[in-house]
Amino acid sequence: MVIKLTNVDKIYVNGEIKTNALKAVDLTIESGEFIVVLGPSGSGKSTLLNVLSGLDVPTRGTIEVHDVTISNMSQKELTKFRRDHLGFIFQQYNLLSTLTIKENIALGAHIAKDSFDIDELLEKVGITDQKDKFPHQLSGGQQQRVSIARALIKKPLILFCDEPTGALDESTGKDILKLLNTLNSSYKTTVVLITHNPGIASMADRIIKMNSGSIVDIIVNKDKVQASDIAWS
Amino acid sequence: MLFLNAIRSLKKRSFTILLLGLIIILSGFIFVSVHYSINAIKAPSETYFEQYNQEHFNVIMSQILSEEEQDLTESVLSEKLRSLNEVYGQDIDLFNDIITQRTERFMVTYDATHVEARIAKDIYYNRFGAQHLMRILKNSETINQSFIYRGELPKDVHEIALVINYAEANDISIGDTLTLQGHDYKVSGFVFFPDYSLAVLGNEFIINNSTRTLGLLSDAGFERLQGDITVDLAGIFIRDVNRSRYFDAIQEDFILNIALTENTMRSGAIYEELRGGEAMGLLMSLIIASMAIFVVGLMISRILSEQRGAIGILKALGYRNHEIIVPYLMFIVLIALPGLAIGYGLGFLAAEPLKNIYIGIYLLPNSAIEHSLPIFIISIVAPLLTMLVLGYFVIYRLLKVHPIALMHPKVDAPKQWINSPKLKRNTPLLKRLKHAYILRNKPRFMVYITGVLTATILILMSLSMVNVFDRMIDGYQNSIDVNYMGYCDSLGGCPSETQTVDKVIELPHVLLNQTPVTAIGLDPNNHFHPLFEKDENITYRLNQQGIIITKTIALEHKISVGDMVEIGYGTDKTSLKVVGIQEEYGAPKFYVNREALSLVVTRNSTEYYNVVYANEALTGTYIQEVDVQDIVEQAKVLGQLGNVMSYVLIAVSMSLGVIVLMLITSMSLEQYFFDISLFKVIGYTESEIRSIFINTYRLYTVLVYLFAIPITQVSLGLITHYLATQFGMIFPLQLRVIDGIVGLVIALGIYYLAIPIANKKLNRLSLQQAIQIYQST
Ligand SMILES: Nc1ncnc2c1ncn2[C@@H]1O[C@H](COP(=O)(O)OP(=O)(O)OP(=O)(O)O)[C@@H](O)[C@H]1O
Ligand SMILES: [Mg+2]
Repeated sequence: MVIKLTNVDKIYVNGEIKTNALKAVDLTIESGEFIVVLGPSGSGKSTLLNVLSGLDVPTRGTIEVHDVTISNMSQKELTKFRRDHLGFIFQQYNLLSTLTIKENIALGAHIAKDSFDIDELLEKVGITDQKDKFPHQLSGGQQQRVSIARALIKKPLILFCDEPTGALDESTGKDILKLLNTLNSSYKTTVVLITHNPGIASMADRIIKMNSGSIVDIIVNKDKVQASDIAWS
Repeated sequence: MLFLNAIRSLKKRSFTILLLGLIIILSGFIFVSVHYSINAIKAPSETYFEQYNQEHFNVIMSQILSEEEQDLTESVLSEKLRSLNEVYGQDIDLFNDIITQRTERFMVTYDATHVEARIAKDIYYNRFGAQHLMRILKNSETINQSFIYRGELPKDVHEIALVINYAEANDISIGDTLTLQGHDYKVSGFVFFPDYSLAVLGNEFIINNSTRTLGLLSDAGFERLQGDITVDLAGIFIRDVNRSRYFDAIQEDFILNIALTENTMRSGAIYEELRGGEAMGLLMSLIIASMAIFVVGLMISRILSEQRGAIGILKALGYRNHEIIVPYLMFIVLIALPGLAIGYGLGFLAAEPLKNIYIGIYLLPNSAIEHSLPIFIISIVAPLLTMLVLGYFVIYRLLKVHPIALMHPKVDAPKQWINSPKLKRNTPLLKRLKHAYILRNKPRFMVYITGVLTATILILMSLSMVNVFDRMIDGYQNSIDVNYMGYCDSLGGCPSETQTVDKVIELPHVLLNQTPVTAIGLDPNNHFHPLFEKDENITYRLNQQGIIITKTIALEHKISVGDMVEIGYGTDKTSLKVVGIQEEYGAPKFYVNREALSLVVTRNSTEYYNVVYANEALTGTYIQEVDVQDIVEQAKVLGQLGNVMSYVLIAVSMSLGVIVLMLITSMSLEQYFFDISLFKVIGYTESEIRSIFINTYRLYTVLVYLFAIPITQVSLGLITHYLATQFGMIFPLQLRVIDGIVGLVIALGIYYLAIPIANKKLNRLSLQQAIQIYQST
């Protein structure tokens, strides 16, 4: 078991308005799993991911990662934890425009205790030829590969992806998913992926369905399909 | 709606706007306070100089009689007299004849002038334990008329008119009684004397108005007080001539020196100082105002680039440019107007105390501070308009972009230099990034550099001025053991003295290379007044044939040991070698063997002396007894005033530096918000992130400071040179190592004071919020 959530609540308070974004969530994620979180907009997917990964703290409940309780850690400890164990990929690629591709990836390596060889990783995510270019000279799919490489370079235990294909077309999106799949199987990296796109669920080990802040269903997927074979919508 | 949007963008930046407001206030404050205070002095002073016919120049005459004048005294009094003072004591009519001859000769030689003799006595007296020095004068006829601005002129022997600064400092009102040499004088009124009358008093630039002053007496009251007289000529030009060249060849032997008022430290300097103060205030406020204007421009362009998408959509929807622009312009007015108004108001309030500091040092007529429309316009309307025009320009440029282009995010083109192959090879990635983050936004970087540079230069200058007066007198005062000086009656000679004393000759108005200086005759084996060149005791050199000059003369005339100088005394002229340079600033002097000087004065005796120097209080009766320590204390009090002003300037400059640095870091954090949160998400610690985005400012602040050092050095050199050539004043204005160290500490202080807020802001930047903003863009 990698991650364990027990009775987690997240309430956003904005002046008078309170939003109960997570309600009594219980969830366990096993090591090496490929998890897809599905749900309509506003159902609390991103909130779940932020809380899972220590980017944000829950209002109530406990979160254990690798038997470490992170829900009551200080910001400092959380930073250390993220730095050592977690990788992130977002819909927006968030690359530094003044640095080359290789340098953007090096930013991730810089703080890692143990990291992959950059050139090997560039090869793996298929952007070796682009390594000396700048972000704005790359396509969206290529930029997303860079941010994947940046997340992976420090050998994270878990990779969190919030709509990684949200801004991409079908074929590029599938390429990225294939890449994530490969990384999951070859490095045994646990992947938690959030999406609107129900088709992507078919490549998961388990599918977690959310609605208005609660987990409404957890489906174990017996017939995992290849990324290239999913139905894109 | 659009206006609401503008207000919201403002609210997000309330801290930055607060700092910007402070800068705007500071700029307006400096301009308004300096301008109003100086103008309340300048205009009334000019009127006074005109209406009361104040002198254009002053002629220092030899107090020694020429050969013919001496012959004249012999023929009239059947005794050969040698000085004007002696003649004045024995035959006033003869004295008047000699003076009339001199003035008439002067006006024949220099026919563009009119001159009038002015007789003064300097008297020392004690008031509540403190020693006061008063130069007393009689009312004059045409030139330098007395301006009584309260009470009336002294009518009889029992009345005196005083300078108001002195009266106020000593709690003396009209009608009070003042006792001088045992005679009571009733204060009849307050008179206004211009500063050049004071200049001769002790030859000091800074005059303590509470212990050194001028008194106006009736003729009878003047005669009643004992003391040597000095006579000089006050002159005005009656024709247009080239004043600065007019006296180039001094032709009359009784003239020691002619000083134009405009070149006199205490009077000409008033104008220079007022002009300089005004220019300096204007420059400072312009620098600060342009920083403020830049910051407004930067802020607008930041907000716009944040909202380019939204603006693109508005344009696509068919909004007209001016409909989009107006809310932003309103917003500039909202930011700038309160700051400008507060700056004006505070400046107006500060003008009065500032004026009082000036007139506390210089005796100047002044008027009340009043609002003036042009100043109001210049300080409020002009900067506001500039900001609006600049804002309009920035917005307009953006709006010219096609709506579609606006809706796509703008990419910062990668900067060439941080990716130059050479830099890449030698510099680690994060290091390059750090510098790129500071340098990338050029206008912001310029504001930062300007702010910190201005602040550090001002700080260094102030540091070099701290204790400058102490430094000028301390070295000298510590080297001597003279605590009391007794000035003997030139007619009666010196009394016998039971204390151990050094016999000394003090001879003012001796010419050294055509400039009047004071000659001091000292014995080589004197007890209390050794001479030092740097740290070497050079008193023995008084045995040599030659003179020892002070540092002041050495610097002013660029004279070194071994040089020959021309010395003139009355009609005698001789060439002498400089055998040493005494470590002493202040009034120009030279030291010479007393016996040799005695021979010059008496022509046949080596026994003459007119002053005694002692370590213990004197027992004999002297015309004047000077308590040296007392004078040193007085000078120190004024030195302290100077120090307070330096400290105020340091504090103001430091605040300027802190505000600018706070503003810059806070704007920079706003701009790099995304990058910072990215670093946070990746797992960079707060201290790592601080070192990328903030700590680099420490390095740059130190660099800017180091750059400020040579600039300050050069400026101080120029100021010293200017004061020396224009006014003959030598100030040891220079940066010492200790100033450099203190300056560095202050520069770092600026950094450490400014940075905590930025750090807090950086730490507080919430990840969750940052990610959400990512997701929504
Ligand atoms: N910072 C916040 N302050 C207040 N409410 C918030 C905040 N962040 C999220 N919420 C609310 O919490 C709920 C869950 O939001 P969340 O972003 O987790 O949804 P999501 O499932 O990721 O939606 P989407 O698919 O659109 O990204 C929403 O109702 C949202 O409005
Ligand atoms: Mg979401």
